[in-house]
Amino acid sequence: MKSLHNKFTSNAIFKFHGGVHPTENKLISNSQTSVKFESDNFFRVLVNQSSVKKFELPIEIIVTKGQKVIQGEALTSGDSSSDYFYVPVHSPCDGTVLDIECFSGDHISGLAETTIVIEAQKNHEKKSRIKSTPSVERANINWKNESAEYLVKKIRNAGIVGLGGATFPTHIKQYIPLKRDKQNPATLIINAMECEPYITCDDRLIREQAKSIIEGALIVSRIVNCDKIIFVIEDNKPEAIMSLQKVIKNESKISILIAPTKYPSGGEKQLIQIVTGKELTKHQLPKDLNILVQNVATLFAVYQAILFNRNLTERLVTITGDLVPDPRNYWIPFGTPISWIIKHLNISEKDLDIVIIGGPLMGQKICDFSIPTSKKVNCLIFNQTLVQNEIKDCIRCGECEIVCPIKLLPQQLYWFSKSEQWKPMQQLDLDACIECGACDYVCPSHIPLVDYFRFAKSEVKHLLNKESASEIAKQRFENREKRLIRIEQERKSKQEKITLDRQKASEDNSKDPEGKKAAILAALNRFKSKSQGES
Amino acid sequence: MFGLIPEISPWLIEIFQAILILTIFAGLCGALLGYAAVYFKVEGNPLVEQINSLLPQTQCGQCGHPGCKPYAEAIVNGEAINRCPPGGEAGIKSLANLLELEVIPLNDECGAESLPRVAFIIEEECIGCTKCIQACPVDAIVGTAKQMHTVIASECTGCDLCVAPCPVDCIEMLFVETNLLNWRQEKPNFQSIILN
Amino acid sequence: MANNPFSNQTWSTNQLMFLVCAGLIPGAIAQYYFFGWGILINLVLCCSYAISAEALILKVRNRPILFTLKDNSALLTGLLLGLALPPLLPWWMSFIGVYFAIIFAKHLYGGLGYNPFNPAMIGYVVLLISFPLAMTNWLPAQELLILKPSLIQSIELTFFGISNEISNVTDIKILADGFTMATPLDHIRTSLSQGYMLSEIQSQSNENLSFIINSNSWIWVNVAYLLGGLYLLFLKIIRWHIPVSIMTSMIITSYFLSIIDNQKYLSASDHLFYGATMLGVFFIATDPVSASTTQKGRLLFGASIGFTLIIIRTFGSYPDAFAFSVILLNIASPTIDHYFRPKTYGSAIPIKVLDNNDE
Repeated sequence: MKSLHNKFTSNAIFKFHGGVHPTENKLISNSQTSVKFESDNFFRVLVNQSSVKKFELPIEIIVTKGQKVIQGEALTSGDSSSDYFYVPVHSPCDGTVLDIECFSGDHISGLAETTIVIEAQKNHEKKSRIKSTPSVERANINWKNESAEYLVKKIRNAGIVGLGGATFPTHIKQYIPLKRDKQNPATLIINAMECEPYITCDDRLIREQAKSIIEGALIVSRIVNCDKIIFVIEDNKPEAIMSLQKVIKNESKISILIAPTKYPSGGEKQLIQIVTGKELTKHQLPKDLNILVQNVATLFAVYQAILFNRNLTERLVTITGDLVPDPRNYWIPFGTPISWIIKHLNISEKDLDIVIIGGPLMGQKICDFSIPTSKKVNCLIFNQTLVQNEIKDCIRCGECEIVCPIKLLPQQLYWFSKSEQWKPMQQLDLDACIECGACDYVCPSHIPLVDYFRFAKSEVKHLLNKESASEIAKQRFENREKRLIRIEQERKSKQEKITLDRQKASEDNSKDPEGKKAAILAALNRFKSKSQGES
Repeated sequence: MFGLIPEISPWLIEIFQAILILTIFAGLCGALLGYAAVYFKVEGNPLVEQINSLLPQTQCGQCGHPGCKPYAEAIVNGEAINRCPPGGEAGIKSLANLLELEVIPLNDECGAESLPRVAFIIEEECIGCTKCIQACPVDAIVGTAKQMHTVIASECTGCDLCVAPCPVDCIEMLFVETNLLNWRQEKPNFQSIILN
Repeated sequence: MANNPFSNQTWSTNQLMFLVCAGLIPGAIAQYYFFGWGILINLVLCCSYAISAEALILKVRNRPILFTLKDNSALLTGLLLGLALPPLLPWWMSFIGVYFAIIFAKHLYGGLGYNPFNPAMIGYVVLLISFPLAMTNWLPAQELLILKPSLIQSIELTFFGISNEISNVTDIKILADGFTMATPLDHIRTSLSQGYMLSEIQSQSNENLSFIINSNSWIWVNVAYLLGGLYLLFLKIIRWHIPVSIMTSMIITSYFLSIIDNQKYLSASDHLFYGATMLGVFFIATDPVSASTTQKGRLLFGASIGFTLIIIRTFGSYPDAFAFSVILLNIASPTIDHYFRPKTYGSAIPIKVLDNNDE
């Protein structure tokens, strides 16, 4: 290690508060090379695979039932989509669209989402992005000459979202070039931390595709116009660091920062704190500190999209756990049902109760194995479920506060959430919680703290919605009242005016009998002409 | 002249002094209070506004009053706080908190708490009579005489007032579908894990 | 269901409480060695009372009995009271103390995690105030006694108050040289109130071997508790904030007092090693349920306990006042928590807060 230590590598000097050190369990899956996964002939592609799906987005599906599609073909519209936040999805294989139906999605609620079912052609496995050599299919693009807008558009149309697990649309992050000032140079931070136990896909990707990742980083740095690139990686990945150091020997813009292994140092806020020592305030985004953070897998996808015109249809997934006979990383196309993965990799289903999507601390536990993989699935853990920990009462030990990276008081938040008092929770900064699960991990009473916080956040959101809805309803009601009163008043004043006129006219007529006769004659004439006109 | 004033014993003088001082003091306080009552007077009753902001504004009339503001005024005059079904238990709790009263269960006569609903007009049967439009307290129904009527679902508060006036009974109340936007997480219940 | 059934590799509540009980063992052994069978009898009695009290109240509350007993918190309360109460205390007094502690000071508030006061200390204080004479009847060191009660005699004394050859507990306290002995703090306090200066008391003690032996026994007991406490710190079962802040504030307060008049006020090392100080510092004040929860708050909590302890010992009417200082600060811990919150990541700019909801 020391012999290869070049001047571009340094050790992180900033720390963040708290954090835990769970056993990593990474050696299970990071020693073997990644292979392509042999898929079934059946794919179920979720039409909305980015994190903005919790907002209602209008999605335009551009394929119809029975239509033949090729691998990488767009199934939903990107460019012409009416909402700029939407990221299109693509077909993972050559085949036919069987159906467009609602199926339970991978959201924590288990609610149904629209999916497109594709039946693959018989020999679709032949095409693989890893087997083909780059020089054969590389598109003739010199990205250095292209404009940033063109590149961002291409990234969006390729369906690229953040592949670290959060799936935020990449083109939104890169849309505005970074500013720069004396204190905060425009920086691209590459997140290779992979701090959660069991997950090794980023580690393997760096070891196998370091050059591509670096080129992807250079592309992104061109898009956002940054001054320097910092590659941050944990010290439990020495082989990956070595591969990186070999590649960036000749790049002056890029430096490597090695950070001590701690969970959750891979979170965006914690990463920025490790690199710059600065904390983002509640309303700030990383771009306010002139920083852009991207995951290595996202950069690899950018590289593939720009240089090979490859749309995002598969990703490296860690398949690990003690029920997996051959745990390693696989290139799995999106839309592969988890049940097929279980069958194909000979995982014994009878011992399996739940599968974890993601890592053991932040991941989502699912019992329904028919749901498909998507862009957010970076790891699948198949473990024999151990004895369920018994949940006891909180003993107020304060360990949760010691490990919280956001310096919150999880214990107080727990008590308030249990008693459903929302205002004190907001005063304790409930919304700053990143749901990392470190407090859960250390709790001696095994209280599911993050579940309580999610419950509280959902209730607060619900109540805020109810408040604004009732405010609008009140406004509409008051407007209606005013309108009715106004109409009534107009009617009354009109009535009064007519009465007054009539009174005045009768007064005039009583003073002037000749005029009265003339008026009667005139009225009679009016009547005659009217009835003649009608008949 | 002094001969005319009868001799007053000293303790009587003390009593007079005490009464005098207290009267002056009371007078000062009263003057201060009167000044404050005039100078710091607040128009209207702010309590009514506060109560009204806690009510759900469906204007449904289930409480027996023609709207939420009248019910708020009634509460100020002593009406029970448990007459609002759309507000539900949470509403009763927040009213009890504001007014420092006891939390009482919802009055069954006024209705039952239910999941949110919106009105839906079956367009094949609508005759365009505008009776529902006149009934809707928040103007959530679009339409005019002899033209099709339809409910703007996002504005509908689920108050049920349009269902009765419709002469052809073409309005039904549907439960709002749970989607990713309005999904609410369940409260973690660990009592059952202990006792199982 | 719990969030992560796999990667929990930290202490569970049962293990935590059990290890705290284990940390008490060195001190218990030291107390037995220096003060005889009475300590062990108290321990056995108080533990059985504690477990039976907890089982009884759980039955009444319809809670799962074995599941709750397994968290060892009743055992810990029993052990603490057993070590804090004077040896050879009548069995029915320990019964009242332990039952009060478990039922009133713990379960009537809701059980483990809900009690605002340290249950063991509440039991101790109830006994101290109700039976002041018996509760201050401490035995001197074993080796000084003429009549050393054997195990059987100790049991008889505890249960019946009388044994053959020994008519009551006070008789034991008469030593070979005719003195009756009390704890060092007690003795110093009475001497000070009689007008002696500290240096005189010291030289008196130095001339009399019994005094030295008695003081040394207490010092050894405290050292044993200190070792047990350091063991807990090493295992990270308790955190350093409370013990260090208590001891620091004790040292500072006694230092300042001794600057004012070092003939009237005890030195820091005396305060730290006489009485039940180390037991309190590491095992009683660190009880997580009743102490402050925020780290900075714990520093203030501990500092106040140390300060209050010295003040009550010096100017109050009790020679050893750990129980009172802990309970006083338990009252204050919610306020301390409220004002000593850590500053959240980023600045705490409040976002839209619900206006209408209950507080």
